Amino acid sequence: MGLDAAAAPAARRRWFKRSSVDEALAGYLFLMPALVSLVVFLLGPILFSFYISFFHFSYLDPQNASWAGLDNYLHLFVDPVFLQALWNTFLYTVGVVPVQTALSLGLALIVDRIRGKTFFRIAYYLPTVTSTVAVSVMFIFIFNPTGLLNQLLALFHIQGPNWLNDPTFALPAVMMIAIWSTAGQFMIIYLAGLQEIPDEIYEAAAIEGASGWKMLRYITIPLLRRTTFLVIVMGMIGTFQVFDTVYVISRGDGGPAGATMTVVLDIFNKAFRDMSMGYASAMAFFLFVIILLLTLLQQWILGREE
Amino acid sequence: MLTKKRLLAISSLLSVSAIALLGGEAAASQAKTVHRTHDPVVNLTLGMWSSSPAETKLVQDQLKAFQKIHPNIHVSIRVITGNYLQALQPMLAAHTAPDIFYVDSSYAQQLEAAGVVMPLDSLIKKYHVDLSDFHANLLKAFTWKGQIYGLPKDYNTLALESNPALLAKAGIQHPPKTWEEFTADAAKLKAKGIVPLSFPIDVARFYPFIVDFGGSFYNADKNTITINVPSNVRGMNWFLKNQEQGYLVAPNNQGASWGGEAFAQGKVAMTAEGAWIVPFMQQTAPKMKYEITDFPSLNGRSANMVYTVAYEMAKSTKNPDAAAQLLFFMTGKQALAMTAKSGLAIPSRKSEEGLFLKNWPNYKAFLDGVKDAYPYQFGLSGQDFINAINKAAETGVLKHQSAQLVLQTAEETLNSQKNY
Repeated sequence: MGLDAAAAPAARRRWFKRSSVDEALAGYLFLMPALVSLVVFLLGPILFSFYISFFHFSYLDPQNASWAGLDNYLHLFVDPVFLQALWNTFLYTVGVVPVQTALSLGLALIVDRIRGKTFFRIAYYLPTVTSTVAVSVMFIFIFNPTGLLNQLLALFHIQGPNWLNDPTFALPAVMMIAIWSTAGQFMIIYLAGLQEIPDEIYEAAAIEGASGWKMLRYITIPLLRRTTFLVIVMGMIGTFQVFDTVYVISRGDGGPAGATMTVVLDIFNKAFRDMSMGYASAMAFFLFVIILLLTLLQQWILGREE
Repeated sequence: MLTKKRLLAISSLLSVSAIALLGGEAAASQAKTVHRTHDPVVNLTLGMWSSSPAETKLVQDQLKAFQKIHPNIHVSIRVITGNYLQALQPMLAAHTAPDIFYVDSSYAQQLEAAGVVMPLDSLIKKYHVDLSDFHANLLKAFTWKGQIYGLPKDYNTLALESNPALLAKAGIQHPPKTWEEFTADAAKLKAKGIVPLSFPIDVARFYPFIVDFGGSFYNADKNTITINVPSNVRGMNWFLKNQEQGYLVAPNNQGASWGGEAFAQGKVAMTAEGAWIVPFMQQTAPKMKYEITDFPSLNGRSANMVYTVAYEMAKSTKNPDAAAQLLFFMTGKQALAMTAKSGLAIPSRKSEEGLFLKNWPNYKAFLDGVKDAYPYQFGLSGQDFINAINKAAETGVLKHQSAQLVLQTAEETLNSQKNY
């Protein structure tokens, strides 16, 4: 009896020990499908892409890849097509993100209080779930020299430009498409942010005699700072990665006269049209570094404010 | 009785012998069949894009005809949708490409130089393929460093399509035969408020002007691109001047995606497109009367462009002999006679042109154009060159730049892209 009593805790300890190993094993086994797919289809290709960014690597002739060192990265600074693509992408981001953020906040404020809010939420969110290609084709018709927009302008005796074939107007036209199609998505994020602000704060402000504008200025916008940060970061990542709209509108060549050439379109062309996978990989990592730096900068600014 | 018995015995013997003989023959014939069915069965894949269900049907019919001759070679079709070259590249790199597949001349050299397609010279010799039946410029489009990598299946050239009703409004009786005549006609049309000719800012269309004035962008024999040289200035200048004067108008300036669209909408008096415009016009503007005439000559020369597609063989094929037989059949007389009858494309063999014209006489101008046509390809840096020259020309038209500056810009851009 005494012996049994002494043996029982040891057996329990062994059982627990085995059990924790088993648990870990089971856990890893459950993780395995996701882990394997992540490594094989995401992490592996990313690492390989980083590796080949240091080679002159043709997709069709991988055996004869030659070591390029930093050559691919250095060439980015003198490649006129890439520099124009980078400038266009920068302009596009500067044009789209602030307007998109302000518009989505405005829409969220309206939709949050309006009667029939479900209908408006769906209506504004609809462009987000519509295929970008379909949206782009629709806007090709709208921006046609004799399209809807120019006909509308003609009512006010304004001669509209050839939006998509004029280097001055092509990029702004693409910006308009982006703003139209993404505002709904960010509106949903703002709506979630708005619902997290306690009503008591507004009630207290109302008792203090604050007007609607003051409530917006001193309560809503400051309390939505984290949401705004998320919207701006996501917006910037999205705009720096703009591809499908410009691909459809310019038929892949970034025209007119390179006005809609963006970094990702240039990467795509270099990789899949010119078959220069090494150089395209270097461009992709350069873009990654830009996005990372901008995100860190914003995080630092936000952290400093707090 | 004995006689009867003997007779019976003899007749039985004869019957047995007859049965044995017949049986022997049957057995022999069965043995033959067995021999055929015991030939190793080879499975091949044919890769293609499909511009229409009719094209897929044509290839299926051609394959049926092939399999009647080669019952042991089974061929399945792999229709590659989306961006063809983009989809084909990983297949070639991973050795999973179809055994034979379509290759457009515009990127053929890149595949051939990369060593992913099979040189066909020894197989051409082995199967006695008559190369003289192909137009030399078409064959050259699939020849790299003296070796043939593909046999052309069809081609297309540029012709002039004109709307007689709009020409008549400006008092023009016939479509222009030369580009010099065209400028005179264009002035008359413009005076009547009619846009003369829809013509994109694309080297695939304006290259004949460069050649007509004695210039050249690409030397296929040396695989060299020359842009900013004095001999190219005149042709470039002619093109830019006509764009500036509004005689040649880019389709996207009229809200059209290509010349045929603007032409079908009656927005222009003329356009210069390939034979692909014919089915488009039948579908889009079936009642519109229009003429197809030879692509005009300029400066006494009649250069044209040829856009051609070949069948090439993947180097990774496990059955090069069977694949060669299939490739040679698909580019052979029987298959191309089927193409000629279908009217879907202009067959690449001279011997089938008569049959094609008999069925489709309105395509004559496109066939006329092949004689002095240059394949749409510019070597290993071809894509970079096309981007550079098109972008520079577009900027030149929009900003009214000189031909010299356009060529200089294109050359600088191309040089910055080389080896990357």
